[in-house]
Amino acid sequence: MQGDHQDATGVAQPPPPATGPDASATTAGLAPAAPGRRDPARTAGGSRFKWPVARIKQLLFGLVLLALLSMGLMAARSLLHPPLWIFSAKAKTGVVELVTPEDKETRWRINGAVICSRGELAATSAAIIQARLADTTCGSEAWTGYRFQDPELTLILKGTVHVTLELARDHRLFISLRQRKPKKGPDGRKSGAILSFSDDTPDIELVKNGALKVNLIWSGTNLPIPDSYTDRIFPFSGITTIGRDINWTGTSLLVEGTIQVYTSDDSPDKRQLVDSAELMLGDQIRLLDFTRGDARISPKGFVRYAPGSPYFDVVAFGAADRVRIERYGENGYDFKPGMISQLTHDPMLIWLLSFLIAAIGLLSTISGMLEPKEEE
Amino acid sequence: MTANNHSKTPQARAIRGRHRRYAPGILGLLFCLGISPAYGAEVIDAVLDGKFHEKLEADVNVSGNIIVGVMISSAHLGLTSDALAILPSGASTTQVCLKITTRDGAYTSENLFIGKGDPKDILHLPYQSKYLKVLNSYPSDAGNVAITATSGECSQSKTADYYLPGRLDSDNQLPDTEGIRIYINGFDATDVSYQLKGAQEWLPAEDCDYIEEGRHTAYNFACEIAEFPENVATPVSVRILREVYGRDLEPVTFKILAVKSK
Repeated sequence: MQGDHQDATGVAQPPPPATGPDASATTAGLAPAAPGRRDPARTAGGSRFKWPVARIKQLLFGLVLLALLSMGLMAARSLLHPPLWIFSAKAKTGVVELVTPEDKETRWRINGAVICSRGELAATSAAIIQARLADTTCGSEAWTGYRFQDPELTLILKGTVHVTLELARDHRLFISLRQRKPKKGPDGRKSGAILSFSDDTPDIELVKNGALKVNLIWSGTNLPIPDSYTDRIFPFSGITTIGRDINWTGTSLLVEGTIQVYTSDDSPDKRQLVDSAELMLGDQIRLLDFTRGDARISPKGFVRYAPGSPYFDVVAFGAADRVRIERYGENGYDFKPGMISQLTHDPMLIWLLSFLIAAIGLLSTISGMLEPKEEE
Repeated sequence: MTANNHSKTPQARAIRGRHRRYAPGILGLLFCLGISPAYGAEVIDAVLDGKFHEKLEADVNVSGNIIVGVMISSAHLGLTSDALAILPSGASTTQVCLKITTRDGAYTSENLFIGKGDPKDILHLPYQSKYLKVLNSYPSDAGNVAITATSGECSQSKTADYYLPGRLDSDNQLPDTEGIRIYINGFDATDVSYQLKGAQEWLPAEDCDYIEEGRHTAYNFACEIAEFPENVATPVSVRILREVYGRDLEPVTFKILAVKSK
């Protein structure tokens, strides 16, 4: 209590009149020393200086309140404006689904693949006629297969294309490209899929009757091209689904993996691991585009395929406030850092709390040192 | 196992009274618009046969059916508002096996309803689930809850005849502007399409859409039929085609018994 005195038993006493040498100290809020006690503030010159113990205690109380208030405010901020996290997934899986972004191009080398088109491609060049297959590699008669001999054959995906990369039971690689209604992207160019060659062969647009319906099959049923048996890397950007939830006929599953969440690049405490979760056999995770203002940030990553391997190696990362994990036998759940993790990885809060704790400790020590002691 | 006389319920009396009053005008208007008189039909309540069977469990037994939903697009909204009905069956006694399946497979129900009345009446299927809150918790957009209303007993191993369930509107009519959705469990299929049978032969196939988000425990493709072509005969024959990277799977054929006609 400001201005109150305490006797030896700690009972508050009314303050004495502010007269004489103690008047200035009392009016300044400093308590005069009790009679019969050693005055710790006595100076060598004999003048008396009153340490503001009550003020220090008030300050301590205020700092504790401030610390609690800060935590409350930070917690409220986290709830109202969830922070941006970077999710990083690493998995071994038999299937990956992508939706490429409308304003970007994706390029993959697809040498050695049989390109299966729903319906024949227009014979716009000799290369198409020469590459046409007469066998049933592509399945039914509705599909026509083409095998180009260019060792650097490149597939260019423009705009939004739905892509599935899947390993068959015999570990062959399949890729499906689907787009029902190709549309023009922001740059005015038509979206879709294009085959690009390293020689003078003109580009081939893989669109039939206004729709993109193409399968890429590394079949091995025709003459093998040695180069097609090396590892393949498919870098991508877009909405990413890794694994496929369980049904009773499907065999393309996520086998194992981990998903980790980091603080985002624009956090003062960049790229600090916040939390992680193990992925189980049969899980399905989906990384979505993240929109901030007018900007849309798509997940990025790559798929690695090694011939003969029963699964892909996939790495994908993207910004989000949560990632959905579908798990058999559960309703699925959103993986995101908990409130405690959010608070303990908020650098602003950590700095503020550290400062407050240090200040509280320092003031407590000073207060303890200055506390009047009874004479022995 | 008797169908109740719907005309005795206060709601039915009110509906009937209103329709009697406006029937000549409505029929005249429909005649002018060239719309089937089915849209001026009255509504009768079907009766549940036995106990109501439903199941809600997170530990899902995945479904083995290929056809999981055949419905007017917004029919699922009729479940929680007790406004689910099927278009007139054309029979005086109708047995309807109603199956509800959520896409995540967590909720399923299978019940037999029996309706008796005028063959031109719309048959209301009173849905008395104790999990209405759960059903309401699914996003209201189409794609999360599939409904089939097949003809005959639920125990029939293979049913090829489907009624078209929908949600009754405020005038106790089924919407005539909405499309039809067929939900398919494609299993391993990369492509699913449907064909409708014309007067003589099958019409060109139309693609169904793969449902990308969420779980696919019960089904993973949705076929949208905005409108039946004019040359399609009723009942409408539908063929579902599935492919796995170009390789055909066995097609599935069924009939939609009663459809909107224009």
